[in-house]
Amino acid sequence: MKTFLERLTRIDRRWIFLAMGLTVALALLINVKLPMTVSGDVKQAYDLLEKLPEGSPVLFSWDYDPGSMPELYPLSAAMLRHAMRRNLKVVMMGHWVTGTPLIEKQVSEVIRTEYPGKVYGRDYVNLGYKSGQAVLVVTMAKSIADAFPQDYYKNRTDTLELMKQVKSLKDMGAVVSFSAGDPGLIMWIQFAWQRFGVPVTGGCTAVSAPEFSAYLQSGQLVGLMGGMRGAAEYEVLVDHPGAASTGMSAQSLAHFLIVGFILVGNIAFFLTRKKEEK
Amino acid sequence: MAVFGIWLGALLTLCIYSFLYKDNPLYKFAEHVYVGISAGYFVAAEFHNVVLPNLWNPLTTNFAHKYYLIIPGVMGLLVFFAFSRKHNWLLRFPISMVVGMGAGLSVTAFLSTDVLAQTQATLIPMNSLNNFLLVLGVLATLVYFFFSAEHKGFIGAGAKLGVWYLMIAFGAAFGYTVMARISLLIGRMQFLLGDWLHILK
Repeated sequence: MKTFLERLTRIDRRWIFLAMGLTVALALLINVKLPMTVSGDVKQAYDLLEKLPEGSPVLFSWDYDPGSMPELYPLSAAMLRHAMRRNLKVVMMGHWVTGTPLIEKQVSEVIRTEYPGKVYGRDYVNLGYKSGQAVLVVTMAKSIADAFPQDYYKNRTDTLELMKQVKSLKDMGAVVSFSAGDPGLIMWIQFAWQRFGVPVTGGCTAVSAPEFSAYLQSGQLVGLMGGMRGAAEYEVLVDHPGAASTGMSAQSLAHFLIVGFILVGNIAFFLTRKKEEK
Repeated sequence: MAVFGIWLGALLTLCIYSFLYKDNPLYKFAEHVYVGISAGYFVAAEFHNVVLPNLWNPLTTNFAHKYYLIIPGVMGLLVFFAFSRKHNWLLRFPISMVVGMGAGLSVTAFLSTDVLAQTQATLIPMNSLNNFLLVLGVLATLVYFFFSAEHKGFIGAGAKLGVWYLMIAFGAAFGYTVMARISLLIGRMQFLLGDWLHILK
């Protein structure tokens, strides 16, 4: 018994990695379904888009790269789907250079496939990537065409039907940022909301979710989707389960495993220490 | 081509995950490929998305109206003097401009967003348990970081309470971090089992 407990306290971490990998893989393969509740923060973000009048322009900013895809890609898909369903006019852009192709991938998967009636230039515009961060946002508040003289497809921005109506950031009904760090949500709060009064919402990686709680509490941020969980909750709200909903069951089982490891490790540690003291 | 991309992605993913067993040449290869491709992509994207539409095209097609673009253009070119030992002092001009502009923009933004608005959000009536705990937590945590007085008596008790609040915050942050890391694993698993092996339902 003593040997077993001692072994438990000195277990090679590679066994833990293997157990974690197998748990996640099995959960995905078996497709375990666990119940999901929607939190108030996610509902608040959903309501922001839901209450905008039909035809309102919204800015979607892809501020992440493929490294954060599992958390933010399903969320951006769900929010884009919601905006299209509500007939909002979506202006898309990105602050992260390696994230720009994700906008195109999302346009192709969500808009062109599910909403083929939507016309580019009239219902949605992809401005693509631009560096400049805060300077870019301030320039956009003056003139979007100055900040983005051409869109992702090299069209002149000021010739697009939608951009003739939406000339500045201040014309937007809301800004939605899918944020994996800086530049991202904080920058939009600091400039779009605090300086120009445009409501800001969005999602972030789970790592940065606690940081945004303060902005949520103070009303500077209208709702927040933290990590894969936030994305899964939004998928529930738009009634279109996707990668995040499937992933959350694996997520929950992985958490059970971690809690189990922590409990077993601590029990083994305290029991072996007690015996050594005796 | 898409199948080739998926196979390449899957093999590079396995190379990266091989680090979990131990450091090895396959991991190092994938790491270097990632860094190299990112850097190359960044340079090409900046040139096509920023330099051409925002500087070169306006200067060559509509020069009469946008003289001021010459200034950032010249500033940008001065950056290349970083490679010259004799003239690298010229680099100071673009750097000072970027630092000055960055500081000017971020100081006001930080003050209004993170200091004034957050202070205002803490000045709330203590008419509910939530509000009371929020104000108490802010005060106790501030007391913990107050080092001009010894942490004894009333201040000591406040500092201890502050430590409890900090621990709860760190615990929440750690929980979210674990969630984020597992999400990444789930994403890769969905790619390997779904897009690559096609065994996901």
